[in-house]
Amino acid sequence: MPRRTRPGVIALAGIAALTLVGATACSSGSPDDTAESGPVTISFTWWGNDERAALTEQAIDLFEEANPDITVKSSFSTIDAYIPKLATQIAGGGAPDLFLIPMESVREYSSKNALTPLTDYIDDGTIRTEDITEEALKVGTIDDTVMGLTLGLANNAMVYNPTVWAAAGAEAPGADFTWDDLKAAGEKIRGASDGKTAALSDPGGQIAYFEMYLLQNGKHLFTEDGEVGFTEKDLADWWTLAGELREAGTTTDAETTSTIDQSMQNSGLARGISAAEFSAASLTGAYSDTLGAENIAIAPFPTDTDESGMTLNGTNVAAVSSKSKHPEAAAKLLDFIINDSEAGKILGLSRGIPTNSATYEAISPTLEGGNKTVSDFVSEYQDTFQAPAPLAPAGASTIPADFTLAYEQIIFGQTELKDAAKATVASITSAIS
Amino acid sequence: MTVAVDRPTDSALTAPAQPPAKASRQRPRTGRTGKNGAAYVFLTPWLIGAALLTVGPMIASLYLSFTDYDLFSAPEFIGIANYQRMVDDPRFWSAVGVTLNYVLVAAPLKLLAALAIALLLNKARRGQGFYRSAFYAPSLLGASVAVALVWRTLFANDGVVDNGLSTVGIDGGGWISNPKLSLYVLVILAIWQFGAPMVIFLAGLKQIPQDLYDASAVDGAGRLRTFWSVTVPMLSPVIFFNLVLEVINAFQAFTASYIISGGRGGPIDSTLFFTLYLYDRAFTAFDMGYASAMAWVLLVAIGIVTALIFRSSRAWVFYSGEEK
Amino acid sequence: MATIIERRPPRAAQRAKTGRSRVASIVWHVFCLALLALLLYPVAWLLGSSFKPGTEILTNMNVLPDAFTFDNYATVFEGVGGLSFWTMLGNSLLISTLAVVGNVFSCTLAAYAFARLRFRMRAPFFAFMLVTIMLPMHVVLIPQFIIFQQLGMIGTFLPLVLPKFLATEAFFVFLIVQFIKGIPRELDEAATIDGAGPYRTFGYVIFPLLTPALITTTIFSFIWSWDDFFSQLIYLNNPDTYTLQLGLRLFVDQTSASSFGPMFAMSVLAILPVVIFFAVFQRYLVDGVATSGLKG
Repeated sequence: MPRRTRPGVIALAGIAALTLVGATACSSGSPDDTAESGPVTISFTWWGNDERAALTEQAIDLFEEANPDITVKSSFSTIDAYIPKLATQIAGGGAPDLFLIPMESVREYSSKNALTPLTDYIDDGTIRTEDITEEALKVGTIDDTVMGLTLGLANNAMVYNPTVWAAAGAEAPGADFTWDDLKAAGEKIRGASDGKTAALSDPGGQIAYFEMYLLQNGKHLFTEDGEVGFTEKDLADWWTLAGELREAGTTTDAETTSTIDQSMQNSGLARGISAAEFSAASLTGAYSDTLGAENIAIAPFPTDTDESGMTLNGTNVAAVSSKSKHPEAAAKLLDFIINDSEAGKILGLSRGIPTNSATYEAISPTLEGGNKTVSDFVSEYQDTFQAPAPLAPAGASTIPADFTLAYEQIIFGQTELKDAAKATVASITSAIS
Repeated sequence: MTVAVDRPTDSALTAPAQPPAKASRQRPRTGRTGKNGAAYVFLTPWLIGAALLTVGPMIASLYLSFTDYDLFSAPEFIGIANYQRMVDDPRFWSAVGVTLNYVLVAAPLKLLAALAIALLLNKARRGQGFYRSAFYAPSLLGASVAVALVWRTLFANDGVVDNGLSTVGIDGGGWISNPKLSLYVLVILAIWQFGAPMVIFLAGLKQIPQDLYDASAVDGAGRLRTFWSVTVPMLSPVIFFNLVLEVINAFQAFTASYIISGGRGGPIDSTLFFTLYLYDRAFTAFDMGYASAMAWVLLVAIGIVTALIFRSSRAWVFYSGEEK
Repeated sequence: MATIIERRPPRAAQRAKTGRSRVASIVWHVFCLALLALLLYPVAWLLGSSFKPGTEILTNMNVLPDAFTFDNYATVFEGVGGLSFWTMLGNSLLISTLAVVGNVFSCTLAAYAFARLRFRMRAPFFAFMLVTIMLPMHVVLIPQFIIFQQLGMIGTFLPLVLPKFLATEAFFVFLIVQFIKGIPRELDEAATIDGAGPYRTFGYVIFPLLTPALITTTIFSFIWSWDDFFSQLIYLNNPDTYTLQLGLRLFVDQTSASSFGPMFAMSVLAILPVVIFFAVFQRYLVDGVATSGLKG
């Protein structure tokens, strides 16, 4: 080993220090430094698949035509890649001017000062909100300040394979379908398939459906103040219900459940392991692509109360970076994507039901396929939708995975249900505190 | 003079070999082979790269491991708190267990497969190029969604593997959904993708001078004897290289589990690789301080294991170009 | 462990020289083909599935499609999310080719210094080089991103290519070091006696003997930078610079539809160039150049 300190070592330490300064300072926003008056370039990133990419690019072209002094540099990837990339960009001080975030993350990004409040732009008319419902506005609103606007709305529901249900002679799910009805259907579907097909992919480990269960029982995951909105008993009740369904054979067994996740390739319904799945209704088209449109229908969740457990949630919340050098141009683009009728026609239901109700009215007669199924479902059941749940507090990003892990530990017999409920409430509480 | 300074530390890296009788081609070294100046000319690109792109980020990550850093706001120094947290983090220990298990099983088996196939393909035969490409093909698929689909299906309940085992009386159910077996699905995936070490073995085999085999034949050595006295010692630098790299790779295994378990490392954390958990902490929990601390723990662990392999190499690695 | 190796393959491989070579050859081919049939099932399934309609892929585990279709390929050639397949192919080819040039150039130079030259910092530098292989990339990602950001290179190919010219892929340095160490030292010594310095020794003696190692470096540099999704994701912003790997992933998004048919077709198309690349370059692994060098 070298015995003397070398000048090189000091120089290297200097570089390291510079790196850290860069990390903390979050310095340069976008590379161009043109004044607000001249032509500006803004960056816009979002997530989605190839189809959404093509449509969004078309809408951006339209925006550039209408605003010749603004150039939009867009960038996109799928959601699993998008989140780490955006985090890296923000950490490196290179956040895009306009970006999309999932609804669950709004409070997180906002509390860490990554977002520009949009109030000023709404007040001066840059962002028009007259055709946006109060529920939709609430999705990106924190403490009465609009931090972002969702580009679409979607509800969760029960997506099922009507062919399998009918063949088994099971009662099709509908408005007054109860959990017991589900059990009855489960017996028939198991019977008709030699025991191979479950009526439903076990939803017990997915926090979104625990939230649904809470809504049916008049509670929320989180309160408006960002506290835990349920008790250990509520969670134990949900897991007990899930356990009854599992033991009755209505839902998938533990081993099968552990191979199912929210992705289409691991979907129990798409793989024919189960005949229904709780899912975002907006994925109906995706299920149709993998199973055939005739094999896909949507129904409300089973419920034993007067509440459906369904709400319209935000999907892709558009927000302006707090480091943006051209927040006004970014706000303009945000407004265009939500409110411009031509852009709305192009984008259709690619991010859920359009936030702009006038746009939705204009395009709904033209919908077909999976989009029409979703749209019809929303029209039919809109009255039963409940008020949107309060936004998840900061720190909630790991909760869904922890929730799933806790449920797996129960179904594989590693933990007692009561202990798991207790530990989960504790870990959620500590994650958001 | 420089030689004298260099000597002691150097020996750990370029261990003197024990020359096997048959293969010894060593001559006493003559000493002077180069000067400091020339060496730094050759090293210029590497030095720039190390200074500009490697050292800084490494020091930065070391510093971050002592901070609370959520990627959004400035890192806040918290001493060794991240390291202390690991002790009580059950998922951290799951990840350690899974990874050690994987390293111990996957790395040697993959190397064996690669060496076996390389030896199989080493002799000139018709269609050699085809076979090499075909055996490499699985490695080209990487860990894509397509591979994940096949693997999950093959090892599912009632999948090909389950049914195959059932016919010989082993009814184990699906591997992918069994927390005791799911890791071995990833092990088999790793073994299946033996292409990279195979190619390196092939390149190494090509470098063995034919006259050594000729000499061995003249001495009347059988195939087994020739293998042990010529092939193994002459290939030992390459075996050593592959061993070091596969061990490091196994410690850093990430993609296979990320793709096959959908990023969760399930069921019940049975495929939660260390780096997968690290990635989860960094980019899902936005806990980059903790992730950096994990990275340094991993680095130290790999460093120790690699150092042990290097140390052992004195006993079994033979460099024909190395001075005594 | 080694006895297992010894028992099987060499027996098949080494009989060529004996009189029973014909039988041995047939046994060898049968053995290889049987093994390949087992190993290549997933590859065949990928290929077969690329001709299946999207509704068949998740449910049909047979290699051959029930309903044969070229639609998936047609979709890919129409473009992915408005991006041209050929643009993405060109970008991938450019990045991978530059990576090969960069790695062969810089890693060979560094490796020669480590393997043959004596200099004061050799041991610590070599140890440091090894350490750089061991650090998980995800934690140096952000500091590196910041450096490239300061250099104004984000959104260009430079963050993907420049590091290769600076020998940051220590794997290849280490690989070539191991190969150089295997080259008998008397060759250098002969050159030294002839009056060659380190530069000429490198250029005329060592470099020509490194063919197997350089081919290996070439193959892996190409394939690995081809497959390097994460760096491409982080550093490329403009869709015009997107690569095949970035385009390929666009087919499967959890929050929108997943198009497995086109994804499989594009997977096949994305693998094809590397298969060709491998098939072409593996030829140069044939016949040890070192052998002829030694005899000369």
